Amino acid sequence: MPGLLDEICEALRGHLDLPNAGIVSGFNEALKEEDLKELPLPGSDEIPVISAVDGGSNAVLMTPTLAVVLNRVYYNQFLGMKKMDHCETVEFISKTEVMKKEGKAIFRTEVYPISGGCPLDPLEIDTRDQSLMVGNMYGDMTRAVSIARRFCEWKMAERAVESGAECVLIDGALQTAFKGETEFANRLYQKAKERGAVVAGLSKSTIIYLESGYPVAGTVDFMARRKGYERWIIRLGMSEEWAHHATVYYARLHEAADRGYRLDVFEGATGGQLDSLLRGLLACSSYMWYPGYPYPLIDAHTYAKVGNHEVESLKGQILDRLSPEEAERLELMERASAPHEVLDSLGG
Amino acid sequence: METGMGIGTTDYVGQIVEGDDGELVLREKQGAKLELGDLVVVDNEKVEYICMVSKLTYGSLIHPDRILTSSGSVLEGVNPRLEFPDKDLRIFRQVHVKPLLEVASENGKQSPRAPRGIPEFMSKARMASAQDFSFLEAPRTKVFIGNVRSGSRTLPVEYSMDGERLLSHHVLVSAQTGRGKSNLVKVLLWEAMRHGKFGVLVMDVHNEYYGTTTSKGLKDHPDAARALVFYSRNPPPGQQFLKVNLKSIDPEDLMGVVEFTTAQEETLEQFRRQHGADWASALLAVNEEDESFKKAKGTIRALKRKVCNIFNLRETAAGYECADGVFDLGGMGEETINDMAQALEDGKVVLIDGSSISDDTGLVIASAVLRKLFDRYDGYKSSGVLKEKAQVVVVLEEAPRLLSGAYGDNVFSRIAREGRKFRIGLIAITQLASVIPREILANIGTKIIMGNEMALERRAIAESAAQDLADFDRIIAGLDVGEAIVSSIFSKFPVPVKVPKFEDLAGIGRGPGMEEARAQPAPKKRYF
Repeated sequence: MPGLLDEICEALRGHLDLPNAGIVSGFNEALKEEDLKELPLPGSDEIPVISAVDGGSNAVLMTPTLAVVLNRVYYNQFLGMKKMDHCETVEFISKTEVMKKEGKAIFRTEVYPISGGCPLDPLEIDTRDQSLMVGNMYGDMTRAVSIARRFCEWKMAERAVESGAECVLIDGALQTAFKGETEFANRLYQKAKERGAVVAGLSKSTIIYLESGYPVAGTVDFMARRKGYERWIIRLGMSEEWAHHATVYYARLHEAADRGYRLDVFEGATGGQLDSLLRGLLACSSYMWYPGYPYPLIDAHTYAKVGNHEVESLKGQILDRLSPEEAERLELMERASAPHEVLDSLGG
Repeated sequence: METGMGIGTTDYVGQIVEGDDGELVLREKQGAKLELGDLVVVDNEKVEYICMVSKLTYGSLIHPDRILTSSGSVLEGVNPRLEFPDKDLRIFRQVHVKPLLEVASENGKQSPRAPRGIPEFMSKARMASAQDFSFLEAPRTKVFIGNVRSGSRTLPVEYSMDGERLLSHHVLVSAQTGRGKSNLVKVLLWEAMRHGKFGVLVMDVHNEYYGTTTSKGLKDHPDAARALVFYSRNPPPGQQFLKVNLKSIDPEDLMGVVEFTTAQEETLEQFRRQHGADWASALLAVNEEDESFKKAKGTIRALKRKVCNIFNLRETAAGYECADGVFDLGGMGEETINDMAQALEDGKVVLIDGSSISDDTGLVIASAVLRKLFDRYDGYKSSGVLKEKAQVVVVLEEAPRLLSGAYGDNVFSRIAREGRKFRIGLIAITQLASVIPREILANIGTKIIMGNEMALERRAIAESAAQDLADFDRIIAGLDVGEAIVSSIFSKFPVPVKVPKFEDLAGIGRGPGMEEARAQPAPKKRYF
């Protein structure tokens, strides 16, 4: 055993000997220490209105072939750390079921608006669509149910632009994942371009690495430490995927932040817009409890979250409408997709 | 999701997020700044719950480690560039409230009762207003105690109690020095005088109730001529000289007030049997060297010394005389005790200036008056006319020594135990309620609790209160001058009040709450 652990440590040491340059995997661009730019302290320069968009969902019912999900998508408006009066919420229930169509199994999602109105047409996607499959397995329901919310987030980001946001900040990368999603993203980019707004995505975690096998997170942090920068940004490159219209950066937005974040900026953004975006992000990332992470995203997360008590109430209302026999059958189907609860309840 | 409210424009101060029938926890609305003792109301359909803030705590959704780290960064100046947004939902205050009353509304009529249910989860709470106390009804003989208070805010709602019930079932005023006890007593006396049907015996040890040319007092009451009798060694014009003939003092009046040995008590009893009302003169005339007293020589000598001390007697060539002139061994002051008893029976406030006599002397005089009154009222009771007589009450300052029975039973502890049957009550004033036996505390119907920093005393009073005051500890500790909580068997909830300054009551009408009350809309007079 001691020998085994020594071997593991030896391998680890190899990964911890961080380089000061490298090629970013998937971006085909060189990462060099001299490209690291120090970000200034927020000053008196004008800052843009930032709207953060986030969505939350929670399953009301989840069987392998039928899911009912309560979704909420929200955007706000911030000027620095100050929340402005305008914000908008959309709530809807999505029902996703597996069905046969033209000889193929599809996931069909129908959307039932509750408030705010989310005009999404029924969505249909092949269960064998690449964006849902893992290996040769058919796409699973848990991934399919998130499509409607994701599409709605793009639409809400459009509304945020229409409402006067100069920068729209989306939770996560700007990468599209599902069939048909690019159309939603393109509509947003088009609208942003017309209005002179910037679209950006901020990811809480990143797994981007260098082709030499070192993670970007850590490598860049050490570069910054060597240079004595407290707030910084470095360009990682343009994504090689055709559906990803973004330039990707890695940035630390506050001197007290315990990490940097991946920042995707819509590729159409000009240098001036990027500077404006960074000024805005620096000004809104000094939240007492989470420095370095933009507070508008924290706020959006808070208001988009769908609590368990909300879905339990809905589930109760659905079960009330079923006969005892139907409810029992539903429970049996649900058990198959939620085995973890039993294991967790065993403790230990 | 609105729960059972339907009041669109109300300024809510919090929302119920947890709790049980004993305590509800509200998340406080930012900026509401609730205080201990504040009254809040939770409106549900047809029922409103009136609650009192009993505890304030911090609430946070942030992990404690992160809080400590961020706080350290700011505090130590490591990283001062951290901010709170305007409305950070992750940090808040939690307000613990004690449900005091459940007020049900049926056909426009409000009926209050002790809480038997709890409001709906997530119901919102608002500050209490005067309208929430419209169920308070006018008592027959109202004795105003103060304005209903929400924390340090006085509401335009007068809280009065029925004098007959209040005084017959005894009152305990518990407070530490400087919290407004004397002012409260003056207010109660002022109110009692308005009716002319409550006899109140007061030994005014600091001579602060009658008033002087420069300060207001009971003499300024519009009914003072009819309802007030003042006894003093130096009475103002029209009032009475304090002169008591020792013949009107019975050895029994000394019992429980002065400490006697069994032998001394027996000797006193022997003198009373042999000499009747002249027992004191006879005792003082005894020659201890006389053969018949030789065996009790020590007892007689000690008794003489005690009697001389109590009545401030000194021996002169002409015999014994009272140094301060209050007591007389001759023929003066024979009717004083009777007159005092009669005045009480007539529903007057009898005020005795005790500033120039010892406390014990004053208590002996009071004992004599009350003994006389007990005799009279016993007779009225036997003849079935007691109900027509005035309710009498004695104000007893620093009550624990007498009520604890340290020197044996006395007329005051008798009143506490059985005075109600004879329409004689007690207003006991103390800062040491813990010394009063529980049996007596339990017999006291109304407790007016003022500020007290001593935890032991707060506990004693809370344990004997008519309502559950277990969660009121910090509230009582924090009561300011003039602030009180009235816990009574005649009230359905412990009522927080602000006692008006006597000067305001005697001068312009109704105390400090009035200025505030005038500033608020639709003030209504309400009584209990």
